[in-house]
Amino acid sequence: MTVNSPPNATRTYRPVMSPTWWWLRHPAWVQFMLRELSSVFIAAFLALYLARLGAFASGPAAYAAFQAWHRTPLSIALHVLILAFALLHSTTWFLLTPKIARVHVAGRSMSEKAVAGGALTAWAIVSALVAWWLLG
Amino acid sequence: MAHASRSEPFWWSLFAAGGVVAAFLVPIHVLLEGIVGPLGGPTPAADYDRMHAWLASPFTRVYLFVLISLPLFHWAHRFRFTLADLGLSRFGAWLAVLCYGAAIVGTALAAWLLITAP
Repeated sequence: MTVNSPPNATRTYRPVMSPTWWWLRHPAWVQFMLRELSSVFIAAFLALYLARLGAFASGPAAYAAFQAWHRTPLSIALHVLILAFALLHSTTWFLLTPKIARVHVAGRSMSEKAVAGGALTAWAIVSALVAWWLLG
Repeated sequence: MAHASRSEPFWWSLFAAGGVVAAFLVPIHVLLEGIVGPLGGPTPAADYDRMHAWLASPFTRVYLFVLISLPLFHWAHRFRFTLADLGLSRFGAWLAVLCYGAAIVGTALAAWLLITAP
């Protein structure tokens, strides 16, 4: 081992990449990390939903205060950010669906494009149904 | 230390189910209840009385339980491995306990709030 080492070679291992920031060095890794981090923003929305149910349980005054906070620019900006990450999760999830699930219709395997297109269409329909339910 | 264990398929199926629920339902809820509602839109969450009427249906309560619980397990599974990827892999077992534990606590809280909601 020491035969080929230069005279002053140190034997200390030095990682080439930071164990925390390695993903900043390639656009594909940044994309991967943003997709993984989308789950944090989705969890933040679910935590806010739990807080909403908690405020509702505390009565009309507490719920009104909770709604008043939702009308602040900070809350609107936070929800726009959450929406962006939620959309990133949905699109990446549905575009990856054909890679993990083979879909057969009438004995024939559907193309990846058809499966992803079907998933995205189903997403649009479900979103419209939820909107109709909530706003109707 | 984030090694595969016998419970891995169980957590992975919760991750996948939560990923599907989040992909289909979360964006429209964020848009309507977090942005459109507070800006004046007519959503059930906009005021106490509408929320009360909306939650009167058992369907709404079961729906909200699914909406909150499964994506929490999706987050737990993804975030556990994200933290390991960010240099915390030596705490793998602790990350699993913390993340899945938080999802279990959130699920229990959701069940309790939805069962006892007025």
